[in-house]
Amino acid sequence: MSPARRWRAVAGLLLACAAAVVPCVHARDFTAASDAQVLEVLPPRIRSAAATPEAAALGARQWIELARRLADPRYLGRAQASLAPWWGREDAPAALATLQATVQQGRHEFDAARSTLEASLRREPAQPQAWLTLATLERVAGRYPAALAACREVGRTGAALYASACQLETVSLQGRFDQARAGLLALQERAGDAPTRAWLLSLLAESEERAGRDAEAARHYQASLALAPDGYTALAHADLLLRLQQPAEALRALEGQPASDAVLLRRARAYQLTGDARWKALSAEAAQRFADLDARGEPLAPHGRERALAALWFEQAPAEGWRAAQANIALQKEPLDWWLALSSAQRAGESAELNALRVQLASAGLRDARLARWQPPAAEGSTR
Amino acid sequence: MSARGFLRAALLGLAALCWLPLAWAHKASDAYLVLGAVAEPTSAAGAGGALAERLALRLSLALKDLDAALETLDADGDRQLTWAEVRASLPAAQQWVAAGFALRCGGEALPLSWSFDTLEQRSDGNYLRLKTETACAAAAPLALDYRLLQGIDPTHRLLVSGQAAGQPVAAVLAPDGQASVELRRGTAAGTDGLAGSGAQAAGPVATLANFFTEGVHHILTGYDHLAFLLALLLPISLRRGRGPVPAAQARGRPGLGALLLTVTGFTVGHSVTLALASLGLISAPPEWVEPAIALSIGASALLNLYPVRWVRGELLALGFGLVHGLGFSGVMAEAGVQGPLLLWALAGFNLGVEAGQLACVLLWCALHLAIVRWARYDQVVVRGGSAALVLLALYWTVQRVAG
Repeated sequence: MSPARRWRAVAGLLLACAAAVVPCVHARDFTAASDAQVLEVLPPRIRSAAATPEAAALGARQWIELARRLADPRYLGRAQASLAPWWGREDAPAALATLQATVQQGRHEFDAARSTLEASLRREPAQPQAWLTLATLERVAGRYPAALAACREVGRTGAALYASACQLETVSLQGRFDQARAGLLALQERAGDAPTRAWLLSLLAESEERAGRDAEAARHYQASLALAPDGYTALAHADLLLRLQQPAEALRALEGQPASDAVLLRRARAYQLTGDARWKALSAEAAQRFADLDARGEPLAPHGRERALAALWFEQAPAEGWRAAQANIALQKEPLDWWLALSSAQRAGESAELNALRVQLASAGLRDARLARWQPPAAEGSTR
Repeated sequence: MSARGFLRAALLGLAALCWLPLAWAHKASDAYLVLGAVAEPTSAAGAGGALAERLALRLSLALKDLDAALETLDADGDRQLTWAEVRASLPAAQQWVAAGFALRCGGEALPLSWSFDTLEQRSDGNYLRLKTETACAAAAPLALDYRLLQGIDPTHRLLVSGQAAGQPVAAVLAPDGQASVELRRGTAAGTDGLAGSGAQAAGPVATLANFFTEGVHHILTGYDHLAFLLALLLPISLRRGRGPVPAAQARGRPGLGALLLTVTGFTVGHSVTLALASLGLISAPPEWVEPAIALSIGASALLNLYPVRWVRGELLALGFGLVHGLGFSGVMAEAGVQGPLLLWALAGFNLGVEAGQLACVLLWCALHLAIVRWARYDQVVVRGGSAALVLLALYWTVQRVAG
């Protein structure tokens, strides 16, 4: 096949896929009631046209922060536009490469984010932020030894507290819960400001949850949120409460959060558990969002976690749920992703795949009480 | 969920940089274009003349995206965008759209005059919808260039849907990537990425040569067409000095004359429908054509086994050839060739098909002459071969109907 023909074939295929889903995109026409009706609350003005690397970094940071605060990926595109003159360039200033990696990570392009960081760190190793982001990428990929190596590099740049937290979080994932607890408590006591303590407490809460000490985990989540409210901690707290069959408390934990796909699904789940019919409207809204993503031609994997959760909780479609969970676990391997993959495989009756997952889980070395029924008893060295 | 930890780490003083959330409330930036035919037929308006097809276009743009492109949209700068502000900015919005959105009919950009249609609510916010109408000759190529939000958001997409020239249209355009698309017959193929390498950019001779190869390739790998030809040729005996084999006797002239007439019949048949379909004058859904091609093989092979006196081979070849031509036209449609080059492409493709077909016929003749003296030739080759073709045709029919 000549390149032109191949392109035509690919274009044809994409168009055929798009044709199948575009009509599903949902829009409701309306007319403004008055001249003064506010049609949209716009984000603050941010300069995108960057003449210097400093201006580009500033613009990109502001767009990334906006995307994070509003849970709106539209602004990641604007961040990319800010970085456009340096995007993908080998000789980009280190700070811009790290920002590029952040945008890529936000779009779940983990491999691209890793290559960007690695290339940048080879040229300029003294970047604590880049090492920390790389350590997180490695943890998300389930590569704990590589994560520990990156944590050590954070330490070499002099950021001792971050290096310790990085190392303790990683060894906790490997099942050294007592070491993590002692270390995180000590760090937390030494840390001065409330946001840092809140962050360390949230790491401790997660570690305790993996250790199977749910009451302690709940206490630490609450303490962390009391010190400094945070969307991610609230979500983790809500997940714990849902697992403990406390939907009313889970709804309270999510109060005031922007309705990201993740938050929307937890709210729907909580309503479902309390027998409140509102769960149907919320899960339908989630389904609509997934349809809109399909219409754009976005791949399944980056939204696989939410789609697998929706399938598991609200849909009678075990095969679809497994497909989403499988795509997701190929992309990210945090405890929730393992739980989703194992549960979905089991529900879909994929026993061969289930066994393969258990083997992979064992070789990754993650220990988590929530996955205990799929794991062999704790090996020596893990302190439970 | 541990990943979020470093959001904090980042915000706490290392750098104003973060680990981003793993789930979003919305999607990235999209605009939507819906194409539709206008019901009443019109005359000479636009580029089309008498055969002009009137097209209605509806373009939906997110107000958040419009704000990024038009400094003046939020006139008072309070970031609360009111209907009064949007209405006051309509001329500027129309001007901006006119500069970044072009519909080309036969290579000429159509003058588009956008007007306000309505406001829309979508999953990621409120949109402004503009509308316009235009006309383009039904046979002229129709192409779309889209550059809105270029340089503002590299992840922005235009999702195109609807109908043009009676065919469904679907495309995804990226202002910073594939920003142009040919809209025709629902087989739109991008031109930007192809320019210089594809048939779009080639001259008549290159197109002819390109599609000649395409035609040869298609017939040599198109087993169903070859199977049909074999079913027609099986009963024809080229052996001198002996009477024709019974089946051929029933089906028409014996010998070389029968062979030439049959091959010519097939050629004429498929050339006619291939040309008509490629020029957009007729169309048939592949879900009918493909099983019909399989059935044509079965019918011809069955007639070898149970001859019907009035069914002549060359007429069978001509009739079913029409169906096979519709099958060939699918290849032309996929290639998406438009405009003046279409005739060259069509000629090249057809010549290629004939050349490939001729090569196969010659090969068959050689094989046939080598084994025709075998005492059981009629029994094994003609009847056995026909029976095998009936089975093969049945299998293909089932497969194509089910698939």
